[in-house]
Amino acid sequence: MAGASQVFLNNLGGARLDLTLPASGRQAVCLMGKDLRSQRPHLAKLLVESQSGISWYHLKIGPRFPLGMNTEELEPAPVTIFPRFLSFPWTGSTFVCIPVEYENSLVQPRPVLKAPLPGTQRDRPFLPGTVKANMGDGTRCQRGELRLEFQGLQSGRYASIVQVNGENLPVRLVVRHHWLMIPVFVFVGALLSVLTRDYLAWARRRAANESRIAAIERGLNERRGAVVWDDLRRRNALRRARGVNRLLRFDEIEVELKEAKKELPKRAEIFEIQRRIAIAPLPRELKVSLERRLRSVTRLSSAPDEREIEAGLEKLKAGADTDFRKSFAEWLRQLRAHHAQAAGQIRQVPHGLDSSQALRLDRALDGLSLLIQDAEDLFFSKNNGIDLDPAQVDLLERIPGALRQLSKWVEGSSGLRESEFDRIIHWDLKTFPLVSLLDDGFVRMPSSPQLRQVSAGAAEALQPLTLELDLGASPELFELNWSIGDDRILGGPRLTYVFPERPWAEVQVVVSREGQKSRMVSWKSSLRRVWTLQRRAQRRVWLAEKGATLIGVALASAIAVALYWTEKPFGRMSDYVTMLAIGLGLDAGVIAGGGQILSQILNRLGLRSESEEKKKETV
Amino acid sequence: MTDLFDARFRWIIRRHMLQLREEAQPEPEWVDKKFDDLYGVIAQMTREKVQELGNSLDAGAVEVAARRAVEAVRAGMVQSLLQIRRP
Repeated sequence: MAGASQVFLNNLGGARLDLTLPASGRQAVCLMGKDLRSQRPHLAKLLVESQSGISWYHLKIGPRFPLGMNTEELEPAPVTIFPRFLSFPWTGSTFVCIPVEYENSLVQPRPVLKAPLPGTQRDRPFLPGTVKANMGDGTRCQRGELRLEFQGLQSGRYASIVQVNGENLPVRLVVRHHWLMIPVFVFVGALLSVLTRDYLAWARRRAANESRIAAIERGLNERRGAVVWDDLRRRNALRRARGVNRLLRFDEIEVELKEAKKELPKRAEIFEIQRRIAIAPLPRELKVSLERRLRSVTRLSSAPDEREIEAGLEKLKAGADTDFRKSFAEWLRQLRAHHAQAAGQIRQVPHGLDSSQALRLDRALDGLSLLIQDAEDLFFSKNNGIDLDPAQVDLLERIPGALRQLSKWVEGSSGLRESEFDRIIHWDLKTFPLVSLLDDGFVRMPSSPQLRQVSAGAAEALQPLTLELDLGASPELFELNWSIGDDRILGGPRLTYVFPERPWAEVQVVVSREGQKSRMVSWKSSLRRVWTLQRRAQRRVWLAEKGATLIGVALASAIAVALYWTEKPFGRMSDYVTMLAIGLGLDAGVIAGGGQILSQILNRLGLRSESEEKKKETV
Repeated sequence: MTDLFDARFRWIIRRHMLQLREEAQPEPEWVDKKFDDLYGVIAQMTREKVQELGNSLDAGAVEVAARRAVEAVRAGMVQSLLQIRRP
């Protein structure tokens, strides 16, 4: 049989015919229309000679430079891409290598998108510009392969007929993001839930602790301790509690609050000492000295001073019980020595006194000596208390003033009236000024005092730190104003303070002397925060809970991957939200609840009791 | 009686002596001139009063004794002063 057929060649720039005999698979190729350049349709005649037993042929009409793709249809295999997180919407690209029959480097494959595949209404067609074709260059596709690249694809199902150089290639693609994204986002969701739960619990506990701290602080403000250190110690505990409250170290707060809530010591002995100072027949300057000594003891403000405070108060109380006999005896001794020295000097000064005046001078000096002698006799006649009248003590403490006046009179004796001596002879001393015998202990601050850290090691935030002003002699007599931030403390030469600042923050301490023109000493130090691990038992509970979360996340992720791997093109925003929600729900619903059970189990195992024991030990 | 009497009450007697001196204005020197005599008299009288009061060296008791002695002396002193002032 011979037959002829007419085919139309449209815009192919020539054509080629492939004839395939189905029975033998023999192929025949016929090129024709080499000079067909016009855009018009062309008519070609095909004459096939009949052969016996063959009733039909596969006839394939292709372009003049065909590729001969050895693929009839791309398998709808899933294509996995990674999302680009830095660009939105997330896009990806993929490519397939298709072996071709003919390779011609002069031919540039040109893909053209045709109609969607029939029966794929749910699938999306490729958009123009998303499909590119190149010949393989040995890098991504081998030579002799066509590289069909799909760009800018979001996750989803795609189906289109892609025509490359006139050859139709049905393409079906399922594009989805890499499965690793599923556990990652489930984990992120669980992590968010863990953090949110922990933060909420932390914030709630912190607020509750803060209100407790504020209540204790109000109590401390209402009732100040008689000893600065008693007060400061509790405030340090409060500062530390407030500092650790900001961290996750809640277990330490209870210890600190317990310390801060401790009842302030009554210190009744202080009031007793003050009372005895007020009523004891003592010279004013001795009273002032004792009051200052008491004040310096009560203003000691550091942990190393604790023993000194107790010893100082004990000593003062013992003195108060005897009306400060020892101090008064020492004062009397100094008065006697002062009189002896002053009288000797006055008598040695050459003067122009007449005999009557000289006699009166002797009587005055002897009278003062007699007054001291009487006081000594009375004082030492008893073993306790001071058996002197306050008026007599007043006379005694005016003796130095009277001696000074006598000295002045003798030195400038011209015109001196005898009656000047009479007041002294008759012990009428009330008009003479008070002259201090005692060293007032007023030590001036050194010109360049230094502030140093007493405790060894690096300065740590939230740890009691003792600073000391290097004052040289008699540091106990110093009463200093310490200024740390907004805090003002009237304390001693040493200060133990808990700095609640942030780690590595610069801390400035300003110290000035009370009642003295301020010479300020500044101290700056970088505080280091040492992170301490939580208590063992708590850490185990916490780690167990988080471990349970991780296991849950792994299981949920595996299930989610299995579900999503089947058909669904994972990668849309809603998919990620779902993964996050799974993680959140997993932690919040299962692990948080499970955590309670876990906690109870651990409690039964005695881990908590171990923690409590350690707390007790710490206390 | 011990020396403590002098130690304890010398200043009390002197205080009263000062009072007498104030009262002797405008002739306080008269008291000065008579000081040792008056002082001795008052001290002696005070001693006696102390003995009358039970020989107690309690400050309050001898204060009372000294005051009584001074009052007795003051009466005699006023008469003496009047004699001095009498032309």
